Amino acid sequence: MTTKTATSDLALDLRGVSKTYRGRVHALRGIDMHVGKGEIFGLLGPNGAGKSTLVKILMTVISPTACSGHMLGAPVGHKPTLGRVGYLPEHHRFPEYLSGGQVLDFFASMARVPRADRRRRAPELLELVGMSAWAKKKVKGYSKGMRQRIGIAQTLMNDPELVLLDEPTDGVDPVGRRDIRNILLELKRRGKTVFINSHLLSELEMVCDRVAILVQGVVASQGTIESLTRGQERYEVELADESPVPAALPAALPSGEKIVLTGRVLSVSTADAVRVQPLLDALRGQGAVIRSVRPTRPSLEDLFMQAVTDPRTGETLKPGAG
Amino acid sequence: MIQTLALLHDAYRELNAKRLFWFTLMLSGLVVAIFAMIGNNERGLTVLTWTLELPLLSTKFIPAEEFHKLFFVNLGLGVWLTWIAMILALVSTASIFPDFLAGGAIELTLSKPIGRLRLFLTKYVAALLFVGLQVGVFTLASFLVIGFRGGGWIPAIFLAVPIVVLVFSYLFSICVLIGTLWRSTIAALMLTLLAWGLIFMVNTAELGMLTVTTGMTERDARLSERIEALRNSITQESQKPETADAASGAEPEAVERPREGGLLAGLKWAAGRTQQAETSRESRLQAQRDRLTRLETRLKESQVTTGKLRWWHGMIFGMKSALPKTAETTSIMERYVLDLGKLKQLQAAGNNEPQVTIDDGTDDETPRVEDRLIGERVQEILRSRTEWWIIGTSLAFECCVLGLSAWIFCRRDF
Repeated sequence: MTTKTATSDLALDLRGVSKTYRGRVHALRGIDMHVGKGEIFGLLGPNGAGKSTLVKILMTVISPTACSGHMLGAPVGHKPTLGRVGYLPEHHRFPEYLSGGQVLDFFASMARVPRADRRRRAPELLELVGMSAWAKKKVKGYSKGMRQRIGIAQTLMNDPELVLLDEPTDGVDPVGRRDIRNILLELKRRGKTVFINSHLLSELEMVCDRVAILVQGVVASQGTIESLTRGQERYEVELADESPVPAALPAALPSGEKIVLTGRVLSVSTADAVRVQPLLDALRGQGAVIRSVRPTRPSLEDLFMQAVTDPRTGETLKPGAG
Repeated sequence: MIQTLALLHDAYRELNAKRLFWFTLMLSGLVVAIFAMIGNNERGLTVLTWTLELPLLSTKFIPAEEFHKLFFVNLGLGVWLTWIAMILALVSTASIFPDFLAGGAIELTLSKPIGRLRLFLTKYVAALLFVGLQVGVFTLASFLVIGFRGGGWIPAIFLAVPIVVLVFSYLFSICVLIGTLWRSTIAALMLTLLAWGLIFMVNTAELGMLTVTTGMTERDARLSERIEALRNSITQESQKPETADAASGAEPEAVERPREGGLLAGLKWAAGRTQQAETSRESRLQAQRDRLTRLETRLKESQVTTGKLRWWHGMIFGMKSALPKTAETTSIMERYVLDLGKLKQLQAAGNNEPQVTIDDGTDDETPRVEDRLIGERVQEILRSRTEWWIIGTSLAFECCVLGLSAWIFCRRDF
């Protein structure tokens, strides 16, 4: 009963998803992943980590070697469920003989959206992605960013419960990225689940509730950014330019945390403000002028780099799932 | 249903975007226009208001309705629809599957709630509908031309629509298989045309072998008849009484009856005459026996050759059975539109030239078989092949090829 309730709260509940190509290339090696309903979930990973393969398995474009997961409560691969999902593939290519409006109509028809709904939603979505003026122009005349905007509108035509976007900001200018970000936040506000594959970590950081980092076909880490950075918070004390760097600084705080000096910034690995006070007293005692004291935590990029770095050698892991 | 209609509508838009669709339709219109311009009257062939004095094409030999039917079957169907329009249709549709399966395009379609097999078959049918539409327009126009110009309204010519679509579907299944395997329009088109060429060659080889084998069989039969007749003649000759020749009153020129010498001389003369007649019959019988031996040897040799030819024909026929029968499927149309008996009458009326014969020319005792007769026999054999066999075996090939393509499509990771 508990499991059922837990599953019903999940948009994606994947267990042991594996994919081996031609018996040699292991693209995915037993992925376990959970995406709650109504959240924005980011999937990160270097090139060839298996991000697109995972999404394609969910969308039945690729058949998994092993998979026992569920999507929107139905087993992965259940075709009718795909009518409740919106999908934007990476490097998508729309038929060039269609106009933007026809693209929306065709793919919505393929998702079994009734004609009346298609007619109603198409202008709304074209307006949302800023493509109303181009609705009747053929796709072959579109720029990459415009194609991406139409692609996003296409994913929303069936009013999906779950939206899977593979590199949605690829080729989109900064204004377009901001628009896409706002669309994602609006979808979340409406209770939709959004699953994004992206290389643009800063973009994801701004919108994602939870992330997973995929490295060589395995989930290296998964959770909220807060939970992933827990224990890695620091305090940074920056000295003013005119201030001398004190010669006799303690190597560690009385509570034991090490003090690291980089340029004019002292870094202490603690999230407790009380513990930092002895350091500030010591700096003031030696006549140092403090410009700022701020708590920091690793960025998504830091987490990503940690995940793709071999802890033994310190080198970046080779691309590909191996 | 929404999805099927969307796919069909999309196929129409795709083909509509290609200028070849309209180009083919325009060419079809041009062919029908030419078709409408040409006719015949009591003096010969007519082109618009001009008359070309060609008595063999006049209404005395070919009634206007038959003329237009022949014109439709031989040129409209046999040349335009079977060859030119077919190639144009292949060129127009060859890219449907490679484009559909191209990276970036297929993912979106596959991610929709539609089964792969249904998707595949709907795409396939959409291409066939395109050809059906083209042929439909052409046939309707031809129907009107035959009706107004020839005075005969023949609904049977609408059979051209399913027949041409059927022939196209055989070839398109090959195109789809190659397109699915390699996702290349050029490869799909070129290899389909190559396969069509091979099918045509096998068909031509089979027809050639059938003609030669039929000719040889006919010649063997005539040779057998001749041998039988000769045997009977020799038997009758040998069973005649020995004096039959002498009593017949025939007077050998070599021995003259003596005018004088009495009874003895007369008896001597009679005995000499009998002996001479006997010698003559023996030599005639011997000659006939020699001829019989020669004919029997010839028949034996010919039968060996015919047997070998039959074996080869069987091999090619077996090969052909497994392949789609494009030409024979098209010729089904003739069965419904053209009356073979009427056609023979027309041929006989117009054919006053001496017949060409099949003969090796080495022995004047070899029976001659008229080319026309062989042609008729071959026609009879071809017409004895049922529609079920022609279409059934061709569809079996198409099903195998299409099944393989569908299997690849359904199992492939994109």
